[in-house]
Amino acid sequence: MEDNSPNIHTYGALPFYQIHFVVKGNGKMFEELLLARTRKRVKGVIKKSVEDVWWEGGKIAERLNSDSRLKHLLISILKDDDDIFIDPVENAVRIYTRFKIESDLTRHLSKEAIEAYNIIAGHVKSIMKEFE
Amino acid sequence: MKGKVADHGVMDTSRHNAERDVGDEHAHKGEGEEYLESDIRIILLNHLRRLGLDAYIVSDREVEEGQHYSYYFTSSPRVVTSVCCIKVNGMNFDCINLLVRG
Repeated sequence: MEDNSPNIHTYGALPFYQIHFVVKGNGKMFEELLLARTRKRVKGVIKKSVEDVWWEGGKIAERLNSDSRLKHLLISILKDDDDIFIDPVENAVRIYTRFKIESDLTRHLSKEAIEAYNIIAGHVKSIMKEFE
Repeated sequence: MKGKVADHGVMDTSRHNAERDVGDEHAHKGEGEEYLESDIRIILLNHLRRLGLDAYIVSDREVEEGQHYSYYFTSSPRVVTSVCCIKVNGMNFDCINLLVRG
């Protein structure tokens, strides 16, 4: 079958995608409170397993570290994935991980991952509401 | 052996003709055509719907054209382009913004 699509794949120069989970609001106002990222301790080289995950950053890091359900989810998610960043910008707070190729984009976006991002967004919203 | 040749780009014409005949039959009925989805927005949207989420594409200029990074993290790229914005109902985050590098 002939492919007449104008969106021809550029093999060899594949695009890299990143998914941002956006919480709207003035992120700059809560910059010191919301800026955070994960750190992890990994065991093994070929058969990797994440031993521990913790958050570093502002006030939100304390809350995220005390959430046991989130920690449990992150240990399974971050096995194949890179760290998660909470990045407050001027009109929103963006939660994201590393850039991925097209095939990895959906493979790593599991139900657990969506739940984890949802929990993180919930904590971001509660802090924004509290310190408004 | 035949399979190996086909893998290197040389078509097995007998099989192709047979497939085309079947394809013509379906084409008359207007069904049975299969194609590989190449639009990343639709791929992501279908994936979210498969996970049982109520997701749909929205146009949000504030999110798509606004600042993407604070640049406090050194790994942040300088040049990115927004592909689409997906709204998911019943979630704490307001939308999912898909970005492409470059």
